[in-house]
Amino acid sequence: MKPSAARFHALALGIAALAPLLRPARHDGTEIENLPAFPDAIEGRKLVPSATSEIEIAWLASFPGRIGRFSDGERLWILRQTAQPTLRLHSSARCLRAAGWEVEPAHALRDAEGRIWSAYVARRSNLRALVRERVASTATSASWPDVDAWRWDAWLGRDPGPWCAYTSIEMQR
Amino acid sequence: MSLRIALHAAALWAAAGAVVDVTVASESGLLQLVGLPVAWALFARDRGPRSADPRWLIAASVLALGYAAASVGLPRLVAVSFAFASLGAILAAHVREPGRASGLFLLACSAAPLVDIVQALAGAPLRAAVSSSAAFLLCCAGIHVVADGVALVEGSSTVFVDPACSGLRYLWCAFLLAAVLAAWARLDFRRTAELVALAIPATFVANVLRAASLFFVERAPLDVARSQGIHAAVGVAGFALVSVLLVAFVVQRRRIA
Repeated sequence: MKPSAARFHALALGIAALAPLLRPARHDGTEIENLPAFPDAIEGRKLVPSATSEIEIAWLASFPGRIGRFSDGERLWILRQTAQPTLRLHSSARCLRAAGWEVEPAHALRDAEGRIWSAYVARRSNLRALVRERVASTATSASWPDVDAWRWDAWLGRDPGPWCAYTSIEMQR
Repeated sequence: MSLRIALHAAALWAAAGAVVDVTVASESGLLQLVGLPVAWALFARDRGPRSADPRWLIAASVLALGYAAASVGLPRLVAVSFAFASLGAILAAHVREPGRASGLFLLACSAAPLVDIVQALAGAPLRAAVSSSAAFLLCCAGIHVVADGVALVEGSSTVFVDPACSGLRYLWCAFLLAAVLAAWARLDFRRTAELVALAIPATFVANVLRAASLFFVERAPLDVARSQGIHAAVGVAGFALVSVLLVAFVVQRRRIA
């Protein structure tokens, strides 16, 4: 083997080992200007603000928008608003898995107003929850059944935004 | 040799945290990392005294520099991708049987936990493409179905092509299978690349056939458990078709060689 190749390899390893130390710290997301107020009610049920949990605190750390947690008496609602197409708005299933929940896909649901929601079942210990999710534009009537379907339309400028991701968590017996 | 590999892995220390974060939150979990232990097992079986292949050693070095650059200013998963590729290249540089080098490299690359981010980036366009293609197939079969974004619409019924049906996990499994076949058959770099290039359209076509078949399942009034069982069976059947195609390609290439 050529000594130059070995020397090049050693140099590359040295650079690779030290480079991560030069990574700048990540800035918190704070872009909440131009976002409308959260709705007062969803599906005819009044929303009552709840305390932020550790899941939403983790989301908030670098989320370019605003997150709200509400109860309507039967379900927990998590609303995430953003004015920019971002990879940091992702499916709530990822966050639930990171928090130790097992997630199984479920059939998409159509609500009383004909809107389509993606759905999944989350389980942990003896807890079971049906989770519904959709993304809607706050400026137009556009909506998407899941975050991935929303993201490309947002990136391509097909909807001006801002947008709100609605996540409903209903505990089941 | 082992010291060089160990030092190489140690230099990529910062990628470990990102890998843990991603796999914990990922639907595929630790399973998506399976390519790396398989690559190591094949390497350990073939390990023996041989000086490192300088081309693969230089490739491993360049990929490590790519990891270094990505570590400074790019998303962590970009750095992780470079890390896995450079690990594959350093194993390929030292494997005793040179014919296994490309397969080992591909196995290590397949272990990069990218399924979720690729799903986030490419899942929706893929689902729309699958939906359009499945609608075309169903129309050819005399069923009047229209593709509406990521949904198939027939009259007042709508069937969703949900994220799990984008075909990305199919593609990842095909990629992993291609890597194992390339290592087993000792395919050179060009033939390995041809095998991977074949896997991509093969999995798309298999996924379209799956979506078209599942359209009938979703229309029927089945309970959830039975529907999920049929989903799984159709998925396995579709992947079996892809597997047969890839194995046939490898067997034919071995005959030519």
